[in-house]
Amino acid sequence: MDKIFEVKNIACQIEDRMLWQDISFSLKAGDILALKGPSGSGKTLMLRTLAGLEPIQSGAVLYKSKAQNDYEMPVYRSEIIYLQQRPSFAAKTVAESLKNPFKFKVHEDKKYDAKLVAKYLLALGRDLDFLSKEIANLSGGEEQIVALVRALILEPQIILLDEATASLDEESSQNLEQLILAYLNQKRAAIWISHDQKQSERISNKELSL
Amino acid sequence: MNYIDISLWKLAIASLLMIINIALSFVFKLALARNLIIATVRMVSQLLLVGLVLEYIFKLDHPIAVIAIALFMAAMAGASAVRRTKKRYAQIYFDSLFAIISASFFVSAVANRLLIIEPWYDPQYVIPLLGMILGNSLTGVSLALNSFLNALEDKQKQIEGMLALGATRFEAAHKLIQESLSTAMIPSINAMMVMGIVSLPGMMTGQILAGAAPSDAVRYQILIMFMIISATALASFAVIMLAFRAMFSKEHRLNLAKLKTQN
Repeated sequence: MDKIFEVKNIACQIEDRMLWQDISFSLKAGDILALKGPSGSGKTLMLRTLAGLEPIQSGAVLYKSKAQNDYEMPVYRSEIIYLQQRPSFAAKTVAESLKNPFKFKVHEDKKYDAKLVAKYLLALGRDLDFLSKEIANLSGGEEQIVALVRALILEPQIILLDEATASLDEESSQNLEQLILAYLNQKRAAIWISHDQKQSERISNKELSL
Repeated sequence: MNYIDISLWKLAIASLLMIINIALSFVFKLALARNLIIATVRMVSQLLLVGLVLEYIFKLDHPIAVIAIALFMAAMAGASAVRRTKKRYAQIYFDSLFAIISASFFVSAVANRLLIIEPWYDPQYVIPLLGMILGNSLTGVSLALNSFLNALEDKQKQIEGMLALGATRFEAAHKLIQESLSTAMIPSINAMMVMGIVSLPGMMTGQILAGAAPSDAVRYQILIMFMIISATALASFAVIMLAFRAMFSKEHRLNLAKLKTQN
């Protein structure tokens, strides 16, 4: 099958310390790559680079055979969405947070689909009352749930997950895995940083250690 | 003109008013004396010096001299605005200068043609009007820069969260731009709110002291307020947009590494 995402010889150096180099891999539809490495090895920095939040220092990142640098960045980032380790929200309530990105120009032809949101929330064990909750009153795990739903309803082709289940209990965590697998549905791909060894084995079919 | 001359010995006696306060500070250990003395000496010497320079410029009565002193004043304002900021990036001085010079000169030019100042460079009008505009633009620009650059650091996660979801750099920074501009304008707007009720503006007071009819002085004050507010808004907006361009790359990336905190 075709590669949808390809990373060629990228490297990252901070001051005079080489964090990682000669990193190459590719993703086909349905792939989930587990990104591993000790703390401070630059896993988050790698996802930020792949999301275009950090410049590519050397090598190339290609999405659908076109280099990241040749994309209009908002277009690229609407297809390859990075979920921060600790999500952040500018809006007051959960519902507003989910709707906000639809105001961005790059998403102007997409519509907020309340049914889809309800379906995803249900899969994560939350009912519709959850939508009116205030962000300030959410637990860390609930924030991660909002961040994931917010990303999925924008229909990215590749999801970059930075410890997406770190603050969730075991059951919620497995619900979230199942939802992501169903979303990817062998058509899309993901890169997943997880410190949970069992989780990595459960979900990924590839791995990369830094 | 009909006003009372102030001779140097009258000033010397007036300085006793400061000495009373300095003495109070010594007696009650209020720790105010040192700063009060330094500030008093600076104020007196700066003003005396400026008086001399202005007399000289007025006597020269030449457009180049007026433009030169105007540029010098604007440059000082641009640099002072940056000196009040804690966080800076490489071309921040240039951006501040550009914002202040273009806003203050533009507004001055409009007012100049409105008042039909003849000749256009008449220092009696040009320099005081510009001075008042600059003083306020300076405050606006430094508040704008402080607020915007601090917010970039505080809200980094939120901004990058939006960028990661496909926001353009402008969409991601829009709220900060709005808030910084509003912060920059608060002193000017508050000043207008209470003007004439709580405070009698300095320029109007000065004109009345110099013998102008209060109704004339009021009209001048209204004009100068329009100039001040519009120049402050223009300069603040310009400097925020320049800082925005400096801190966000064309690839819609927030480049916080460019920001250095001053000690």
